[in-house]
Amino acid sequence: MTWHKKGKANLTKLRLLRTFVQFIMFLLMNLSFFLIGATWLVLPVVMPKSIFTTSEGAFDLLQRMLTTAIIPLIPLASFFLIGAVFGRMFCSWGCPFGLFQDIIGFLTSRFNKYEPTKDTNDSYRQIGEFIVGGSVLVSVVIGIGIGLGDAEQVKASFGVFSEQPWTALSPATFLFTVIPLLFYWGTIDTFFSWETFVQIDIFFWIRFLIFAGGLILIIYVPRGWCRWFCPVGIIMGQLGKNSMIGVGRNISKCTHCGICEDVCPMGVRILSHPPEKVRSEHCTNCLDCVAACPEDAMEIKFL
Amino acid sequence: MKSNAKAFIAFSMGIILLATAISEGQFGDIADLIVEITSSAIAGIPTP
Repeated sequence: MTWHKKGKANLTKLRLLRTFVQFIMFLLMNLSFFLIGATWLVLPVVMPKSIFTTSEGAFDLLQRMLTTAIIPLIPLASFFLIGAVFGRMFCSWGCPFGLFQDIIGFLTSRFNKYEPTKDTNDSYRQIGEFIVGGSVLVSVVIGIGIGLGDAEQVKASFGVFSEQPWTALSPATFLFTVIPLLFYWGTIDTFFSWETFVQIDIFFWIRFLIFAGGLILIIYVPRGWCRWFCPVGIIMGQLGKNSMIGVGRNISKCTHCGICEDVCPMGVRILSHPPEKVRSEHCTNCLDCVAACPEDAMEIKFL
Repeated sequence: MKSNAKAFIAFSMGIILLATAISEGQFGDIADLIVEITSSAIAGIPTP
């Protein structure tokens, strides 16, 4: 890649700005830091409930509402309203787990990264679709069971999955809920004593392995979790393909140098999309392509 | 169908869902749900 000086400087500035916005969003979702109580800020991001969180990610809340036999109107409204206007913009500008992936990606930038082909991207994405479908189906079954029968019996049957089937396994929950609680409860000491270490629940280790697998994935595949497995990303990707805000390419300025594709953290093949707007379920409107383009050919488009 | 039309349909659906949620008083219903950490989220963590 032949870097243009202006493009590189613009990209650095934009990435710094985005990291700042991501931190602000993280603080907004964890207002208990500032002794503020619960809010109804339900955003399409991955944010499970934890010690300091005062709001919840839309997919986490959707599962919770379904398993409590409440029709999840609020999380669905959040998906549709934000997805229709911004597409997947919150994945790159607001999601705390996205921030974590960006930090890990930055710290391991010297590693050889794997750049999947479009076919690989699409086929692995089906796993994410399975996660969405499976979690919603299990949540609906639990909700119907609770609505019609004995709530305690239904909860006992589904065990740890009875309230939020996917959240129980999500690496984001391990990062934002499990690890902080280990310190908050002081049970981190458990890991330094053999007697108590061997008594740790097997489910903890299952969650740890999923988190470790996710971590290895995002070290070698930039934003790997977002691309393939994130249920919020899968849902928002479908809405994002037709969102009002997106990026487009001015064909009179474009020289097909390919820098936009090289800098895209999601591996979107921008030049193969129609110039009026990139219609990819992977595009998160991070605007890296807009900042890096040496010809200013990439533009933010509205409608 | 043009993508602009799809975006407007999705946005309108969002407005309808939000209006229904407000009229059903769902924001009050979920206040408790948002505050508590679920058993799914803390499953397997060693307790004090």
